[in-house]
Amino acid sequence: MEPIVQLKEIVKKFPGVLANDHVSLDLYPGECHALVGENGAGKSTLMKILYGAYTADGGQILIDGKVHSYNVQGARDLGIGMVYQNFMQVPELSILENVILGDPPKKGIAIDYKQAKEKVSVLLRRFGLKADPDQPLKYLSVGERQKVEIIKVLFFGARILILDEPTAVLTPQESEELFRIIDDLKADGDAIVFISHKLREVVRVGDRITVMRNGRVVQEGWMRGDANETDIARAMIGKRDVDLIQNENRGTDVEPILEVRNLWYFDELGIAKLKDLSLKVNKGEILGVGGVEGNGQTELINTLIGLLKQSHGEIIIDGEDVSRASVSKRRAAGIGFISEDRMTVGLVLNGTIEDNVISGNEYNKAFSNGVVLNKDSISAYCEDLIDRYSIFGMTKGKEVGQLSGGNMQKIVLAREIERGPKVLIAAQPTRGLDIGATNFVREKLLEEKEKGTAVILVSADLEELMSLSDRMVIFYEGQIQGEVTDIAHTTEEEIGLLMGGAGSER
Amino acid sequence: MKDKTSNLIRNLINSSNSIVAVLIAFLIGGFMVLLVGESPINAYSAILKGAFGSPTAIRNTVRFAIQVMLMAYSFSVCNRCGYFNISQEAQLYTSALAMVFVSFWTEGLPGPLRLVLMILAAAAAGALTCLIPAVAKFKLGVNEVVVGVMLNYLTKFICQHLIAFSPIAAKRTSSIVSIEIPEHIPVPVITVGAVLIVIAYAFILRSTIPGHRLTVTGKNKQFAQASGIDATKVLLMAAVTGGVLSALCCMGEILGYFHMIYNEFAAGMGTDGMTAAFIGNNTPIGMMFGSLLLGALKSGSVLLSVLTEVPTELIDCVQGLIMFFATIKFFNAAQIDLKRRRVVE
Repeated sequence: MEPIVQLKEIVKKFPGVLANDHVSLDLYPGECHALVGENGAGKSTLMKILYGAYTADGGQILIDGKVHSYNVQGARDLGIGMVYQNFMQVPELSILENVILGDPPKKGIAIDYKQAKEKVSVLLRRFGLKADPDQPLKYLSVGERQKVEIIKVLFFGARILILDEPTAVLTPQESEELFRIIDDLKADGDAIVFISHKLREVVRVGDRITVMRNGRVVQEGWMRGDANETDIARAMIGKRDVDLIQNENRGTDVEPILEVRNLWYFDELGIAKLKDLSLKVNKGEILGVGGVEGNGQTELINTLIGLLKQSHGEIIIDGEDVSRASVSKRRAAGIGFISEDRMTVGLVLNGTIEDNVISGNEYNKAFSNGVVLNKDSISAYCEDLIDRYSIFGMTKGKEVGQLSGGNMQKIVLAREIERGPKVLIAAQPTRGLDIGATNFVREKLLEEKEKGTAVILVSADLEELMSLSDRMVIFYEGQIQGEVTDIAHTTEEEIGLLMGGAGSER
Repeated sequence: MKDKTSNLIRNLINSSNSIVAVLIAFLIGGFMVLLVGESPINAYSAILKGAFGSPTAIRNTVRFAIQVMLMAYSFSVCNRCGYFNISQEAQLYTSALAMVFVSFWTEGLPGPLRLVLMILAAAAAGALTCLIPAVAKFKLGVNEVVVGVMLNYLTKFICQHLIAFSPIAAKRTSSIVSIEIPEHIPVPVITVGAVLIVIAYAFILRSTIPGHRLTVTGKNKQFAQASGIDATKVLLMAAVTGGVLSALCCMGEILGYFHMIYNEFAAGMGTDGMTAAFIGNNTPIGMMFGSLLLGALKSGSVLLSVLTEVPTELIDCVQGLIMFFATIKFFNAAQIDLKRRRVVE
């Protein structure tokens, strides 16, 4: 059988960096080819070249055995479709309108809604979506919206699908459903490139597995069954230690540092996002907060740190009622915060490390005399942080936005941990980080636990929650659907049921 | 070390933007001079001579440069945190009125006390005027440009009315002016004061807590809020500072030069400040150069009409062109950085 796509010796240079160094990859009809690698390994660049968003500096792209050179429009005409991690959708428009957006079928100069609707209905049925094509997209769940995204790509006739970290936002059940869809597409002869960080999924779904590192292919086309998760991880990161750090010392005293009582939050539309939520976090405990994103986790975080005002309820830190305190008062009372969005909330990207570290802490005696900043002492302090937190690439006067994601996160950690918080709220602290940086974050969180900090870890990564938490609560529609105390004897599937709103406490 | 150079390069790129903008503006201005049948070289050398050719010329240039610079700082301090301070002329009118009214009402008090009261009243009036669109924006989400422009008209006409028909209207004169105030500030004091303001501004911005909070809030409001900085308070403080800086400019004009309110005395001063802020890329030193350039154009315009047939509107055209081109990023340091960042990803 002839490969449908052959990428041959692709070279892509950016000033100073070789993003793709003679990379070759092929793809057969009816195959799911998993592409794995750490951040910065060159996967995205390669896929953007395949999708026509970048032009390669060298090498050839063969589609159906013929050399092609094209832009994004050309890629669509050739049947190449990309499903982005962050959906490109308009929530207010209907499913149908979203699917035909950009390339609607025409009858004369008018859009042929009738034909489009029939076609979309067929696709919806095929993917087991009961929704009406005219229903606004915003009423669908994340998993369903992703299916719509795949439908969109199939609608314009794609037979080569690039799925960029498609499971990042899904529950285990929804992921499993996605894998069944992939099998279904393969049976139709479509070819799929599956990009993921989650090695278990890669092993489950990949017919062949290619590993990239530093712009090169380090492992070409392992066949299904040739490699296990450890093999892949080893190939991905080279010689380094591949084990992710685990919480070895679970269980804590019962001495609550943070208490949340009967918290309610209604958003501007009057929808209850937190419903009578109560929880406690003990001294030296990591409380894992799981659940599908959008079930109240963000609202909980924001009401805790004071960015949102709860509609009702109390927040008590170490005996001090901060329910109505400002952000800065709460921080003074001992709240530390690692934002899930380090690019906007967590850091000021076009500021220096000094700007980032002292903001909000300017009155600290080490940083100022109450009015004038002590620049020497601030720089010395930052030098020390750069050293102790191994922040690479940070030099004087450089904006932190120029650092890699891992080093940015280290600045966030340094800033928040060095304040000596009593309660540390860590939201998606390892999202988008490579294994090295992930381990660094995990280590720091566990260090905080040992120091006696009460840590709230909110994460979409179930593996992370189960490895680090002393105790877990699963959110569903603004309430705690279940609490897991015996994490070692709980399976991901059981937690997945809680995430979906079913199941009971363990 | 390497990054120090790249920082330097970034600054060079940013300032070269302004230089290119100014050059293009002068080039186009030169063509316009050709169109009226004069020589561009003659026109520009007349301006140069008018701006720097004699002690009087230089004094005038410095005077206008200080005026423009204070307006530029007033614009820039607000612009840093995303507040477009377009109601500057309104601030000038209200602080001028405040000064003249205080002077009128405090007749009989000792002179220095009157002066202090006038200065305080002017600062308060400027700050309050600047706060109106700011509060509307940050508390109610109203577009400050619409409110600001309306406020400019409103205060202009109120001022016009008051200097024509009120106790402060000058009696027995055919022109619309206010009564003359007895208080004066000597011009050298104003010059030294302006230099001190520049130094204080740069110091506060770079080395103090309020300056740092302003910079950080301007760069990223969400970050500032999550860090415990009350962003709204910072933004309103910036508006107050902007209003006070406008009031300072007005004090220099009224107490140093006019000693009365002329009808529409503030016309165009806001735009001058804004242009200088654009040229100077919001940096204290850059804005000084921008103000000096505009100040020189203003004082040079007198000799232009004397020595050549070129209409003085040329100056307005060149200034408008500078403003237009200064908003274009010919070389974008941020984009160059972004490209580098993408590479790292």
